[in-house]
Amino acid sequence: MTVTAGGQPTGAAAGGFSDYAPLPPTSTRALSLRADYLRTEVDMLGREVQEWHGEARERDLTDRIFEKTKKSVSGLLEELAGERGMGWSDIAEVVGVSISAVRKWRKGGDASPESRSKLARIAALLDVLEEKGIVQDPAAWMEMDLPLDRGYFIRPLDLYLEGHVLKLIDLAEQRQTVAQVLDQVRPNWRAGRSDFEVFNDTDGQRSIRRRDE
Amino acid sequence: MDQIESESLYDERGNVNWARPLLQGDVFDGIVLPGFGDQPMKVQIISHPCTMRMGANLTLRITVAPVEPHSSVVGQRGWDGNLRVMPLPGLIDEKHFATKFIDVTAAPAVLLTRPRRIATLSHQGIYILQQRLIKHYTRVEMPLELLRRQSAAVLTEAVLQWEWIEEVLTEAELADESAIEAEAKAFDTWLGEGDPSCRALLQNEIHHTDVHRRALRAARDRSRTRKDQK
Amino acid sequence: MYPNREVFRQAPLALVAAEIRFTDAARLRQRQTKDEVAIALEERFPFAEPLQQTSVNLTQGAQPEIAQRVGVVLKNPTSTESLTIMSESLTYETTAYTTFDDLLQAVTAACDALIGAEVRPAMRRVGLRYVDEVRAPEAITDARQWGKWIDHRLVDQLEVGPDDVSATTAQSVITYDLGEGKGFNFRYAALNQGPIVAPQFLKRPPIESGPFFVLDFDGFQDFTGGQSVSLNSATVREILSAVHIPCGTAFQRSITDEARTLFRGSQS
Repeated sequence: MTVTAGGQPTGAAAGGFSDYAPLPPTSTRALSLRADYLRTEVDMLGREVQEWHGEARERDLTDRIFEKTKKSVSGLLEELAGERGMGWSDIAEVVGVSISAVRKWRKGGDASPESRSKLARIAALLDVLEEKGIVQDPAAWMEMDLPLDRGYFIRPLDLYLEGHVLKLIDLAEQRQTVAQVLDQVRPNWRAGRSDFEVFNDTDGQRSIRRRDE
Repeated sequence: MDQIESESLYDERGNVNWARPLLQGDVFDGIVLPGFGDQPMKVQIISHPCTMRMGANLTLRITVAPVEPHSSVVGQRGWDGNLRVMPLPGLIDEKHFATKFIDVTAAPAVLLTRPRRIATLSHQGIYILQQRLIKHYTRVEMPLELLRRQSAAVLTEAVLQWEWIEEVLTEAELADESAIEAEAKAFDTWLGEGDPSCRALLQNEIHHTDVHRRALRAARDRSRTRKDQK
Repeated sequence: MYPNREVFRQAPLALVAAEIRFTDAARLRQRQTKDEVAIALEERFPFAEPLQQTSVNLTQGAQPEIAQRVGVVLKNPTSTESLTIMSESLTYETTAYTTFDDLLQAVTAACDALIGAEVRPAMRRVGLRYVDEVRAPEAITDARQWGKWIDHRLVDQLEVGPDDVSATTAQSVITYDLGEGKGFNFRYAALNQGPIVAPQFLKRPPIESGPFFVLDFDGFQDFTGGQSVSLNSATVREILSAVHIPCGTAFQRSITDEARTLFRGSQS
C-alpha cells in the first residue's frame, strides 16, 4: 500500500468509504517515536492521538496546580521570589497585575482567586520544567531570549503569556526545535525579525543599533 | 506605534509608594518649573533610567516635561494622532492628561520629592513613553521588545532596590524620606560589592534570578541585624 | 549475520527499540516489585523516573478509549538508553546503538530482573525495531531525488505520477509473513518535517525540520493461540536474533553505494 500525505483525501469528508488498507495490526512500540507518523486516510487518527497526549500532560499540570493553590499567597510568593528568584516585575507580568499589587501581596494583602490561580500555575510549570532536568533555573530560562538568529526577541515567557504551556514543555525537553515550536504557535514569527539589536555600549550601558548582516 | 489601556499604563496612581525609586515616567504635582512662571505644575520625568543617576544619587537636574489636561488621549486617534505628547488617560479622577514633549526642560532634582509624586508607570508604560520620545525627537519608530531589552538591567535594579527597602525598613521608616534615601544608598553599596559585582551580573539576564535571591537574603540579614541592634 | 553487513561511522540510525509485550502482571503495579527490578538493573540503568502514560484505543466510528497506565523508566547515565517497564510491557530504547549483542545484553538482563522479582507473565509479542532517518548533504526538493541515496526499488514508483511536477512526500508500508507467528514490517517514507524520533527521556540533539527519508524496520513474533510461553530470556534472545536478520538485510538493500559512502563518513 502506498499513500501520500496531504490532509483529508478526496471523497473522505462524508465518511463515504472506509480505510481499505489498514496499517499492520502490530508494531513494536517506542516512547521515543512520535505518535504514528504514517497517516492513512484517517488523518484524524494522528491528530487525535497527539491531542490526547497533550491532554495527559495537561492533566498532570492541573494536578500540580491544584496542589499549589493550597498554599497561601505569601507562601507562593516566597516560592516564586525567594526560591526561584523571580523579581516582582516578572511575577507581575506573569499574573497580569501591577508591580505594586505584587508588593501588596508581599505585605500580606489578599489576591483575587484569579491571581492566585495564575500564581499557582506558574509555580507548577516551573516545577515541571525543573523536574524534566533540562532547565536548571526555570525562572531564568523563561526570561531569556530563545536561541534564534539575531533580530528575534522572543522569550519562553512570551509563549507562556500566549497560552502555549505544553509547547513550552516540549521546548524545554528539546522534543522540538525552537523554530518548529514557533512555526506552530506563531506562524508569522519570521516576519517579525527586527533590523536592530541591543548591545553593550562604551559607557557600560546597553544601547540599540542597526544590525549589520 | 503601540497603545496601552490606562489599567496597564500605570503602576500606581494617587498614593505612590515612597520606597519605589524615582524613574522615567514618574508624574509629580506642585512643581514650580524654572522659566514656566511661578504657578505649581504637574511634570513627568523624561530622563532615561540609565542617565538619571550618578551612583546612588540623582543628577542635579532631571529632564522633565509639563503635564497638562488633554481630552483626546484615548482610543486609536488619541494615541496615533498626538505624536508630540505622551497620553496619560485617567491620570487623576478619571480625567485625562498628556505630557508635552515640546516643552521639555531640566528641573532641579530637589524639587522632585516623594510626597509630590502622584503617579508611576508600569514597565510597559515606560517603554511606550520611550517609544514616543524617540518618535518625537527622531521620527524613528522603535519596537517595544527592543526597548524592553535595553532597559532590562536598570529596571530590574530599580525593582530590586524597592524590594530591598521594603524588606529592611519598618512601616514607620517607610514614611521617612531620609530613611529611604539612606537604605537606597546601602543597597547601592551592596550591589556594587565584589568582583563581579551584582550590578555587573545584572547586565546579563541569565543572572537575574540569582542576583534576586542574593539580594533578598542580604536584605533579610540586614533587617535582622537592625532589629537586633535596636 | 546478514549479507553486506557493515557498521557505519555516521549511521543514519535514529532509534532502536526492542519491546516485549505480555499479559498483565499485577506485581508490576506494586512499588516493591518496581524497586526490586530497578535495583537489579541499576548498574547499567542507575536513574529511574516515574511514567504516566495515556494510551488511546481508537476504533473508527467509536469513542476513543483512554486508559491511564503507570510505570517506570530506567535510564543509563548518559540518557542514551532507557528501559520502560509497565504492567503489560517492557521496552528497551536507545539513541546510541552500538552492537546487537549489546542490545541483547540489556534486554535479557531486563527479562532476568523481572523473573527475579517473580514476574512471570505469558508473552504476547516480542519485537525489534530499527528506525533510520536518512538526511542528504544536498537540498532535496523532489522526493524522486532520493534515488541517489535510496535504492531505486523504493523510489521508482514515484515516476507513475505526472512528470514535470515534484513529488512532495511518499509513504509505504509492507508486511511480510515470516511464518510461525513471525512477521516483518517495512515502512519507508520521504518526508519533509521535523524528526519522527523525538525522545522524551533520551538525549537526542534537536534537529531542524527538513527533508529526510525514513527506513523503519520492525521484526516481531506474535504469540497467538497455541501454548502460552512464559517470559524467559532464552526465548527472547532467540526471537530477537531471528528477526534481526531481515531488519539488517532490508536496510542494506535499501541504500545505494553513494549512501554507504556518506555513512562511512568519507564524504565531506
